[in-house]
Amino acid sequence: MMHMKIYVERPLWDSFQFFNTIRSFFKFDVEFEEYKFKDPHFLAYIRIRSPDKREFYDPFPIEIENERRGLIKGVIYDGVELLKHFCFNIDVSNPAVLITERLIATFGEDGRYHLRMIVMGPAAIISLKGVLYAPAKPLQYYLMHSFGFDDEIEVRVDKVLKMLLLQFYAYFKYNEIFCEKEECMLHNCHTTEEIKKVTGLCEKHRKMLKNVVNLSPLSSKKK
Amino acid sequence: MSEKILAKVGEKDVTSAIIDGFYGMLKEYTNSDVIIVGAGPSGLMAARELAKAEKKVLVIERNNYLGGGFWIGGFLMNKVTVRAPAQQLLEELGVPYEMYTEGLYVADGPHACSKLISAVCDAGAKFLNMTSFDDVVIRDGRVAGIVVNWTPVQALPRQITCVDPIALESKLVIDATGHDAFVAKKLEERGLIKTRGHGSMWVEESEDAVINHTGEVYQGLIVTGMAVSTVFGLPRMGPTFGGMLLSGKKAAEIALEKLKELE
Repeated sequence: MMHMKIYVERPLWDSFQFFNTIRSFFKFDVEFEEYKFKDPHFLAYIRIRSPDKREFYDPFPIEIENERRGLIKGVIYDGVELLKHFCFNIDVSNPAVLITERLIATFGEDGRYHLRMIVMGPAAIISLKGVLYAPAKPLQYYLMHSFGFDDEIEVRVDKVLKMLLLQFYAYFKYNEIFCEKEECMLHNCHTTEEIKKVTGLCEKHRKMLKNVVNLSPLSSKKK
Repeated sequence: MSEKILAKVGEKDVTSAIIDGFYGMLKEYTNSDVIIVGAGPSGLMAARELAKAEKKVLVIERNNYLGGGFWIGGFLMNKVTVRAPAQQLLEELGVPYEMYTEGLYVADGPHACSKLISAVCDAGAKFLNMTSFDDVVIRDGRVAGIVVNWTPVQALPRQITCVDPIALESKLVIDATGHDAFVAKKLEERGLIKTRGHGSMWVEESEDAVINHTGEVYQGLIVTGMAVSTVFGLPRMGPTFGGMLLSGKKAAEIALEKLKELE
């Protein structure tokens, strides 16, 4: 019987608000478990140091100590390396996902790192901060930030979480990588405007996934 | 006949006063508790905290003026912003500020910068401005001082500036040279550490990251401010200064701990 295991990294576990949202979204069982990476040296090692170089360095002692103490604000990790490390520690015979507050990025064919909401492989890692930071925003947002002012980021985290989890499920179960239709939940959104255009599943993916998800919660207006 | 306002002194007295004052200070500070390289907001903040704790502090600045980029906010606009809780430091320095939005405070750059410089002077730190960092002094596997030269020497053709630098010793050195991270880079040239270069990806929490990573990166060398970004390869920051001030304060706290260990 198919089920999904979702790990939520400490300390996000204590404030995570989407247990019920996710449970009611899938028609199969979803099990949650708190997760903690055990190797601070490795985490410090796979930090991204330069946007255009995929190079890893022996960490300074203070970086390892900061990992131990959870002082990781502003730190970005190589998503592929983090995922490989995660996969070693879990059972990947069923879909398994780690939800974390860490920022993750992957090195693209253009020779640069790009922040990601999700990195997929035998398992997946979803970055909650990535959901806020990774999709490109309207120009106004960056103008405000260039002058040091915060502007509200309009992202429906619950909606994006459902999209990402479903994208991983479709990849895991059917080897289906994204959908070209911009209204479909499997569409690979790169901007907040694209996320707004997603309304549900396209016809092809509705047929594929109708037995595994309840689509009604997606229409919720709650932010 | 009109009465003179200023006292009569000879030209030689003026020159002697400058020489005696400067070289007296320089001789006294050939050996300090802490040398801070760079007089931007993080370096000045570290200097103030250490001098307040009665440590012998010498600040090196390659420019004539002190304060680095703290005079001006973004885009040549002379308003500086800090995010909470760094406004408490403005409060301590007596800098007037206003809340712009929840957690974001704005102050006049010239007022904030001059107050900070003044606070460093009041606390007892000394400055060598127009003085450029040239090299590190390494002794028994730790940074034990720096080598400096006059800034103009670097700007002139080599044929007419064969001026050897001088060395200044200290128990600790703080690299507050901004993105250049000159002191850390000098250690890298010698193969002692490997810096990562600051990233161009922007994230809101990059100021937090700078504060969290402020610390000793080699025996005797503490990095603060934007030099932290370069050494650790952290994302770049926006034009706010709270992280710089708090990083400087943290550098001073770490330096005080290290000085205690060395006693």
